[in-house]
This record gives sequence, structure tokens and C-alpha cells, in this order.
Amino acid sequence: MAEATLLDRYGAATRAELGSYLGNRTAVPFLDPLMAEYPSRGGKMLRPAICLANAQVFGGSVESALGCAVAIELLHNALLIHDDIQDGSELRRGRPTLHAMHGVPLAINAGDALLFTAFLPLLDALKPCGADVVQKVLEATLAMARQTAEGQALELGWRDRNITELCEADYLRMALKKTAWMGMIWPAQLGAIVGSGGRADAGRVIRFGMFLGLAFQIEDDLRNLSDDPGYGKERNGDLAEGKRTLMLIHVLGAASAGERKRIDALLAQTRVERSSDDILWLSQLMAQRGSIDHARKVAAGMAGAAAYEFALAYAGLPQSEELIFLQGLSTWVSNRP
Amino acid sequence: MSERPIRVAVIGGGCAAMTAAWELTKPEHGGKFDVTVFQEGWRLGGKGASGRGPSGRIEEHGLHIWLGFYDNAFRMMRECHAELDGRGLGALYGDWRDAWTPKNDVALCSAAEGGGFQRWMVRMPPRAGLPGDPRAADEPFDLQYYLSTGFDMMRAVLLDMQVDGHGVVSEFDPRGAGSDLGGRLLAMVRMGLFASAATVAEAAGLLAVLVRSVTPASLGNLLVTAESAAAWMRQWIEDRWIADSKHRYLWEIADLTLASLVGTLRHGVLFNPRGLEVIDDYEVRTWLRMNGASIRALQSPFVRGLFDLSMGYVGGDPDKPSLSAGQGLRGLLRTFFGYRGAFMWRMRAGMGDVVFAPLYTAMLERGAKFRFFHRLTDVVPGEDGDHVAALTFDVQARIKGGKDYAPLFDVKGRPCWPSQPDLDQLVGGRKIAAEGWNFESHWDRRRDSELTLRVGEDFDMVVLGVGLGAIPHVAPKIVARDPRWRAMCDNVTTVASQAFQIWLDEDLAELGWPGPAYITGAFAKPFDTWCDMAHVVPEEDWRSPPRASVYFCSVLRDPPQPPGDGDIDYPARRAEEVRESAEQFLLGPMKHLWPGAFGADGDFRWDILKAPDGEHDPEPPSGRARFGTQYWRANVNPSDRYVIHPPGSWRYRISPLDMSYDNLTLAGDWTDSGFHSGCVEGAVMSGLLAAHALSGLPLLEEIIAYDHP
Amino acid sequence: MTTPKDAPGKAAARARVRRKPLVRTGADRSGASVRAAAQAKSQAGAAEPAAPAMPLRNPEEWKIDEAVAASVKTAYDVLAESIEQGRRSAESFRHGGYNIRDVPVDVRHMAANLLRLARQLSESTFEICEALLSQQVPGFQSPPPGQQGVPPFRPTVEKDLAGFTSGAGQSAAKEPSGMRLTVQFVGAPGAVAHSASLSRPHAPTAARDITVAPLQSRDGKAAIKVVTFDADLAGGGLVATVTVPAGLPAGVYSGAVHVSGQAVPLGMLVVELPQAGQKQGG
Repeated sequence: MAEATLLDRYGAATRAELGSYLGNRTAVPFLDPLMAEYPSRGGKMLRPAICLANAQVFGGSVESALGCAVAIELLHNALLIHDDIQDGSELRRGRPTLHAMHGVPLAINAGDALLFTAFLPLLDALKPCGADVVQKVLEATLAMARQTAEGQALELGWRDRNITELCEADYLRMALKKTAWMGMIWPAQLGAIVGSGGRADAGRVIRFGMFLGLAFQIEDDLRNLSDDPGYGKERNGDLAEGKRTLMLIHVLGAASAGERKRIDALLAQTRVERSSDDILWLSQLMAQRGSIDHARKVAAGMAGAAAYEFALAYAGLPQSEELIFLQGLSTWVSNRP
Repeated sequence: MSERPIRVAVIGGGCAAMTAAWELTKPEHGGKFDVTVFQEGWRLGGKGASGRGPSGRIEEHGLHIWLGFYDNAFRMMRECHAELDGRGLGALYGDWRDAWTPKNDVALCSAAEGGGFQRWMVRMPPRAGLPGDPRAADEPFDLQYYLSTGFDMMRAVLLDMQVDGHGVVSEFDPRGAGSDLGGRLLAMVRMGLFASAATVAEAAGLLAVLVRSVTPASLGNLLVTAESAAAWMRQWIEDRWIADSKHRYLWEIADLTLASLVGTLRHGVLFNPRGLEVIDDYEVRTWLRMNGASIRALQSPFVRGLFDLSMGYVGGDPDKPSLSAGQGLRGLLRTFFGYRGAFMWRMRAGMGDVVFAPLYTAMLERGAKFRFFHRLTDVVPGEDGDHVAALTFDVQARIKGGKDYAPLFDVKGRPCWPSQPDLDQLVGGRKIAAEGWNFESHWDRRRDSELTLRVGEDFDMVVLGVGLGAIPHVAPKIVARDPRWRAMCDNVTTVASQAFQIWLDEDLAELGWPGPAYITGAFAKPFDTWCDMAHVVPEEDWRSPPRASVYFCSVLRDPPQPPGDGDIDYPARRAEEVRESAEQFLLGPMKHLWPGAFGADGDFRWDILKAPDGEHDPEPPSGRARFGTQYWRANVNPSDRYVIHPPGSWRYRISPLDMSYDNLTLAGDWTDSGFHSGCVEGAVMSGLLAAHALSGLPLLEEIIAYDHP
Repeated sequence: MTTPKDAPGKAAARARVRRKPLVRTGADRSGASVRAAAQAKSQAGAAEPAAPAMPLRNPEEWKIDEAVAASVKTAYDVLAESIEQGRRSAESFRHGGYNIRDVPVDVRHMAANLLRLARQLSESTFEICEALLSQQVPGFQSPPPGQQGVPPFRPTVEKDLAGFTSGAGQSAAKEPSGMRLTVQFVGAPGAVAHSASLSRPHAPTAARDITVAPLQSRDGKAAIKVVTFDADLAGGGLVATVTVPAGLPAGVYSGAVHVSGQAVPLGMLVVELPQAGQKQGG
């Protein structure tokens, strides 16, 4: 698979560069090992790859955008630490979450430090760039920060107040802001801006990035309910956390009044109170009511839309391995290893 | 295409005039210019003239240090040494590298809160290359480059500095981090300094990036950015100022850097074809204040030292500091970012010996003529006012046998200028000695005869290279009829200066002054600037050499009423004032610097002053009278007055390239030379321009930094 | 100034040697050449990509589930809405009106959290980003020269040198540990201060962070409450301004000077008010 090998190469390049920012010169206990923990657990490096492929497609080199790629990966990991704390997750990439290992205060500290560190490679990458590039990158970054903050706030707000009156648009809005923007749109934008030397309009990759991100998120949510919940994750962990997914929203609409009552009661409980029986019941209900099928279709639809938007966003660019990689992403999200 | 060479009369023997003569007599011209230099008195050098007194001791006008960015001046002197070597005279003056030695230590003083003063010592990092080396064609004299480099430096300083008294970075990782920025920032993160030093440093780094890539279109944004970042960083600095007295000066420099950035953006200097001249109507401290600098930073010894060094005090009044913003900034940028090799270079011996003796020797070899004891009295314009028709001179003395005056004499094997004329060569020398003629005093008009040179007969072209203060006296007719010349004389400002030198039987370490031989600025008035010049002593001719030799200089306040032309005693009276304040200075403020120079009775130990050999046998005077054996002077002659550059005066400077008179050009650090500061480099640049005006060479592009913003 | 060169009747003048005209008679400070060189250097960049051509496939031809189509449509709507929101908030930044309170309540909690992180991350990065986004170009108007004065330099060494006759060398060598305190009074002619120095704070401190406990009279019955501190720009150290209310009895008042975040006071501020009956009116 062409994209797999390119993804591997991008991943290796990013990881090598990442090491120079997290290298433990003189390791400070309780900080350095913690900061390096999640990045060391592997991961597909899909986000940096999107950035690097875009940089190449728009005429730049891998080297020119490598700092951006590292920043993207570091920021992603920093937010994972905070997400895990807020979600009360116990597993991340097959091992206990950071706060589960070291306690919340140290984990928060490491997350903050990682967040700070993430901007170093970005600034380094911008040094040789012109004003146009700097301005566009900062603009895209600020937009991302704002969208991500709002996305996180939306989701937390729903869960904190146990809001169940949600529609599909609410879910998509949250997923766009919380996942797609930082995970897909922003990396693609940074790659396009830096790769083109500021000539490419950063707006042209937004739609492609969004649909890709939505497809990716729905697939992620679906996988959590499957026999294979993804590497190192708890099966039905999302249900246990009361996460508002497309399936949950669908099943709330498709359930009978009695079932709806039981779901509401389940969601009103805290994570610890939710019994495994109830969770199993809910997952089965989702299958019975077609919620899972529906979500699968929507994911495929989003992937299709991503393919369509890909054609628009990258029209006129010469054919290349990198372009094929980006094009293949829309199908890859549903077939990924 | 005339057969005979073009006869050029060069008036004056200072840096600017000598540069013009040097260029016009270059072999490239193939003898096209026949240069005669007319000089009052017995020596070349102008404000840079020096002489050898008793015991061969060096006696200067002031304290001369060459800055590492004096590219044009160094280039000329390197050419001169190479040419002498080529003519087999290399041994006479030695290699130029022996004539100048690098100096990177600077000390500044400021008042300490508990009384006394504090020293701030800096060692400027040595840089690649040597002054006068060719510069790469694309090497930028570019404000963006300067500003971004400034922020990079500031960032480095912040990251290097001890923070909050704990020495975070160095303590954490003394050397290992080195240039690894990521490592340094991570170190900050670990120490929990997120919101402080690292963030400020990061902001400085980001500002550097932004400035480097600014375009006219993004200028407005950058201003907004810079102003908000500046306000925020300044607050951070503010919070540290009270507690961190140790690094106070660094905060102040950071403050000034920020103000400069905001100011250059606000005033649109970055992309203005006039460059820094657009802010030259502002006083530099006022301008920095307008752009957010704190009063505190503007009072700092750093700024004061700059004013002291450039003597930027109107009327010599310490309460009237004045320097234009454009030239002030240009000078700073050139000084701090333009030096090569070393920050400063000091001369092995007197400036006359190191600069003007080799130039004189080499130009004699080229065939240039020197007429000493010729004092210009008028430049007579032609009837239609577009050229110089005649030059009139007082011939102060005639040389015996109609020969040329031989101005140099030998001190320890090297040709040197004497502090007094060699009267034996002069007709009526004994009478001159008996009557005590002072050939260099403006107020001593005694002379042998008068001389008139006429255009077409005696000369073709004129380089007027005297000091600005002398212009009304040497060209009264043009000043009277040409409003531009009058405005120039009225508005381009000069100050008198004063200097004294002492030779000591004890070195400075014994006197209680630690460390290397700093040049020290911003010290107490009146002699705010001084330097240990012990390194020149081996060139002097002592029976037993002194252990130290210290030069002091500063501005000298003008009297309320200028002296009349007949006031022949004026220089002596001012010199007596200098002596008095020099003695007071040794008795007073020097106590803080050299506690060891004071006896148990609290009095200055006058006997450590070394008197010249032979003059005061059997015993030199003791007590305070011993000071009488040292050297002091008041530079009050109009031509000796130092040019300063107050706001708005740029528009009154006239360029050597100006075409108002078709056979005349000007040379001097007071012209529109591209670098408007009283210094060797400004003078040399103007001399190059004057040569270009007459001969087309050197090309303007070859005058380093003439097109500097 | 210049007379035409070929004016008639100037045979003598014509014979003279004259300067040749110059290419230019002044410096070119524009830096144009430098930038031209820099631009030539960076010409080798990516070419502007062509505008997107027609999509490869027509969406009308797709056969997809109605519900899925609705989802995709919703996604487009949501995106348009997000971008519009972003544009609006960027606009409010631009007009300087951005306030965390304008954000819907449920967004606040998380946004505040992220902003807190962002602040730690780098306040400057965000401030600079925001400033960069702002499109308004403020007026380049500057006051004309000569509007503002800056005081001359203060003397390095006191003019009166009498105080330094003994042990002067030590004062030069030693880093001063104390901080000079100058006390000025508002509304109490004749009041004097008995404090002239304070310890230097251990940590960076702004003058406004320095406070003094109310200055109590010895019997504790009267107090001076208003004392402000400023950095003393002329002499270094601090200036304390003591505002004395009318009608306070004469006597000595004192209070400890504190700095936030430091347990040990910097010292005592002691002032003495003169005999009553000398109150200043108004």
C-alpha cells in the first residue's frame, strides 16, 4: 500500500525530529519521562503525515514543514493528556493513562509543559519564512485554537449537565470543532501554507479536512463499540463515559419511550455508577435500532464527501505519490489497520 | 583632456582633508591631480593631531579610540601601510596590525544608591573579519536585519541571564545547552519559569522573526504587534527593576531596543527612501521616550556613555544633552552591529604617529606637496559666484633656504610629530621663540607675510577641509554671500573640549582599579570618559618608564560671551581652568575609582605623578604643584571644536558632492558625509566624497555604508 | 546659486577646470538594492497553483442514502456556521471588543481552561497572533519634534563629596544591599521622615506591590492610612508619598513596609508630625 509506506516515512521523519525537542538531556524526574510518555507509545502519526503530504503537494519539502508536523503531534499529545484527565479514561494506546500512572497534578503539569513545548518547533519552522507565511500560519493556528476550545467546551458542557436533547447537527458541530479542526484541517493548512511559501489559500483545504475528520471521528466512535475497539482502548469505553456519539444521538431518537427512560437514567449516572450490564444493553440496542448501521453509512458518506472535496481542493496539482496518499485517506479511514 | 595635471589645493591636514589628498594622489589617477596641502602651524592631524613632548611622551588633543566599524578609515590606513611596504618603507611604521590592537572591554559608571558609584563592565564578543576588509556585496545595511538581530540578541541575553537572582539557566546547565535553544527553553519550563523569562524571550524571538519578514503591506500589523508586545515586555521588565539592581542595565537596554522598534515602525523608517533621516528632527532621547522608553532607561549609564563619547552636549553644558534620533540610532547600529574583529581598536602610539605620519610619508613619496605654516584667511569667490577665484593665506613663518619644512623627528626609531615646532628650520626662529608665538592659536595672528593664490595660475580646484568652527574665519566672503553656508555655520553645532593626561609611577591595580584597561564612560563630570593608556608608554622615551598613563577627556563649557578675536590670552585662560578642574577631579571623584591613590590623610598622593626626565632636575615639585608636570589642554580653537549633531541640523549640512561651486568641494566630519558624527569614520567618508566630487573616484558604492539607511 | 555654464563673455571662466557633473549628489538610504537582491534570491519558490478545475464527478450522479445526504448537508451547514462564527469573533478582536463574557455560557468553562493553558503556553504568542489578525492600521501620526522633554542625565557622583571622605573605596566595591527611600508628605507641613532606606525585595516587584500597614501613633489611637509607593527614577530606590489627614495629633507614627509574597517586611516607615495647630487648610 503506497499510503502506508509514505505514512511510515512521514512518521519516521516526524518521530526523529520530535526526539530533538523531547530528548532527555538531563531528565528532570516527574516531568521529562511524563512528557515523552505518550509520544513514545507510538501512534500512527496521521496528523503530521497530512501536514507533510500537503507541504509536498504544494511544492515544498518535507524538511520545510517538519517543524509544523512535530508541533502538530506534540499538541495532539498534550491535549490527549488533558482529554484523558477530563474524560476519566484509564487506558491510552494499550497502557494506563498518564494520570492513572502518576496522579492528576503531575499529569496536568506534563500536559502544560508539552503544550508549551509544541510551539517551539512551530516557531523554528517559521523562522526562515516570509511575513505572509508567518501571518497565515498564525491565523490558521489561532482559528484552530478557538475552534478546539469551543469544541471541548461543547462536549464537556453536554456531559456536565447531562444534556440529551441533541441532534445530529450538534454532534457534527462538536466533532468538527473538537477533532477535525486540529486533527485534519489545521495540519493540512500548515502544510499548504508552508509548502507553497504562502501562495496557497489556506481556505481551500478546509472542506476536505473537515469531511475527512468527521469520517475519521465517526469511525473512531464506531470502532469503540466493536470487538476490536482500537489499539489499547476499552471496549464500550465511550458508553461508559457517556460520550455523545452519533450512535447515541440516533438511538435516543429511535428508542421507545421506555428504552429512552432507561438510557436517560444511565446517562444521568456517574461513570462509576454505570453498570456493565446497562452498558452492554445500550450497545445492543444501538445495533438493534440501526444506529450503528446509520453511523457507518454517515461515515462512508463523509468519506465520499471528502473525496469530492479532495478533487476540488487539489485540482490542477500535478500527480504525485503524495497526492495519491491524500486522496487515499478518505477510503483509508474506514479500512485502517 | 588637458596635458598638465589638475592642481588641487587641499586646505587643512585633518582626517577628511588627508583622505581627499590620499585618494587624489592614488596611482590609479596616473598623476592627473597635483595635490598641495596647506596646513597652519607645524603638524598635520587637525583634531587628531598629537605631539611628542618631553621624554618623548605622547600628548593628544583628547582620547582617540577607533571603533570596529570604521571600515573606510581602516581601509585607507591598510592601503597606506601596504603601499609603504611596497616602496620599501614597511619597516618605518610596521604592520598596520601592530599599529592597532583590539579592545573589547568597556566600563560604564552610575550613581549607587548608597553613595559612590557602580561599575557596569562589558566585554563585547570579538567578531569575524577585520575592519576594512571588503564587504560582501549583498551584506545588508538594513534596518530589518538590525532590528531582528537586536531581538535575537535580547533573547540570548534574557536566556543567558541569571533570573531572579537564582541563576537558573547557568545553574541548571552551565555549558551543555550552548546554542541549543530548545534545550534552554525546556530548562526554563522545568524551573517553572513559564510565564516569565522564557515567555519574554519567546516574544523577543517571535518579534525577530516578524521583523525579518515584514513587508510594506504588513507594516501596520507589525506595529500593533510590536506595541502590544513592547508594553507587555516592558511591564515585565518594570516588575524586575526594583528587585534586580544587578541586571538593571540589561533591562534598560531591552527597554531601549523595544522603543527603537516601535519608533522605526511608527515613523515609517523601514521603507522610507530617506532612511533614518526621517527622524533626524527629533532628539534621540525624546524620540525614544515618545515611543515608550522609560525615563529610567533614558537616564541609564548606557545612554549617558554614548552621549559622553559623542560629546553630545550643546554648549558643552551637561544639562543640555542633544543628539538627533536618526544619527543617534544609525551610530548605535553601526557601532554594535557593524564592528569586525574587535568592538574598539586602540592605537599603539599617538594618533599623529600612527595615522598622520604614515600618510604624510606615503603621500610625499607619491609626490604630494605640503605647505606648513600656511593659514587660510579667505576663499574669494569669482564674480559670478560659481567658483573660487583666489585663496589668501597668512604665511606664519618662512622656511630657511626656501626649503620644505621637515615636520617629523625621530623617537625611538619612529618618525613622530613634535609637540612644538622646530624653530631652527624657520626664518626668525629665535625671535618667534622669544616672543612665544602660538601657531595653532586662533587668537595669535602673528605672521611673516601674506600670500594670494589665483585660480588658473596657482591652483585649479580646492578641497576645503578645515574644521567647521574655522569656516567663518577662513571663508568670510562666501559665508557672507551664500545663505546656505551661513545657515551651515549657524546651525551645525560644535563644542569645545578639554583633556588631560597623567603618567603614574603605580599601575591602576595598585591604585585600586580592578581588571583590564577599560575605557570608562558615564563617569562623573567634568571628565566623564577616561582610559588607561599604559600600552603606549613603551613608545615613549623615558629613562624609567611610568607604570600607567591615563587620558581623560570631555566637553568644555563655553563662556556666556564668545571671546573677541584679539583676546590672545583666551586659550591660556581656558587651559588654566582645565588644570584647575583636573586637579579637583583627581582630588574628588577619582577617590571612588582609585582609592589606593589617596594617602592616610585622605589627600591625593601627588607624588605618584611621574614628571618628565631632565626637565625638573634635581627634583620635580612636590604636592599639588606636581600636576604642573603633566599634560592638559583646552580645545577652544574654532578648528579644534568638536562637531555634534543636534536634531534638525542635518538639513544644514552641505555635501562634498554639492555642485554650487564648480571648482570647490568640502571635506570634514561636519559635512553631509552620510555619517553625521564627529569621528574619524565620518571625516574619512567625507574625504572620500570630496575626492569623488573632483575625480569621480572612488565610486559612491565603494564608500562603505554611505548608502546606509 | 549656480550660474549657467555657457553664459556669454566668460572666456576666462571657460578655460578653468571644472568639476564634472555627478551621477548623484546624495546618499540613497532606501535600502532598495538590498531588498532587490533578497527578492531575487527567493524567486525560486512554488508556482501559484492553478484554480481548481471542474470536479471530477458530479455529485448529482451519486446515489446515496437520503439520511447520509442530510448528514453531509448538515456538515456543510455546520462548517459554514463555524467559519462565520470565527469571522465574527475575529472581527470583534479587531474592534478590540473581545471579551470572554461574550462567549455562550457553556463554552466558557472549557474555553477559560484552554485560555489558561494558552496563557501559560505563551501569552505573547496569542497576543501577537491577535494583534496580527487585527487589520486596522493605526495612524502613523507622531507629535512634531520638540514637544516632549526628557530630563538631562543625573550626576554619577554626588556634587557634594564631603560624605565620602572615609572608606570611599568600599562604597565603590560593594553592591548596595539597601534601597534608598525618599518620603514626601501631602497635607502636613513640617512633617519629617525617620526612615531613609528599606531592604531590597527578594523577588521582582513592581512599586505598586509594596504596601505599608497603617502608620500607628504610639498610643495606637490615630493612624495614617494612605501611603503610596513609586519607583524613584531620579535617584533609584523608592518614593513613599504619605497623605496625612487633617487633624491628626502630633507625634511619631510608624508601620511595617510589606511586599506581597514575602513574609519579612522590607523595613519600617517612621514619620513624625509637628505640633497641632499647624494644619494646612484646603
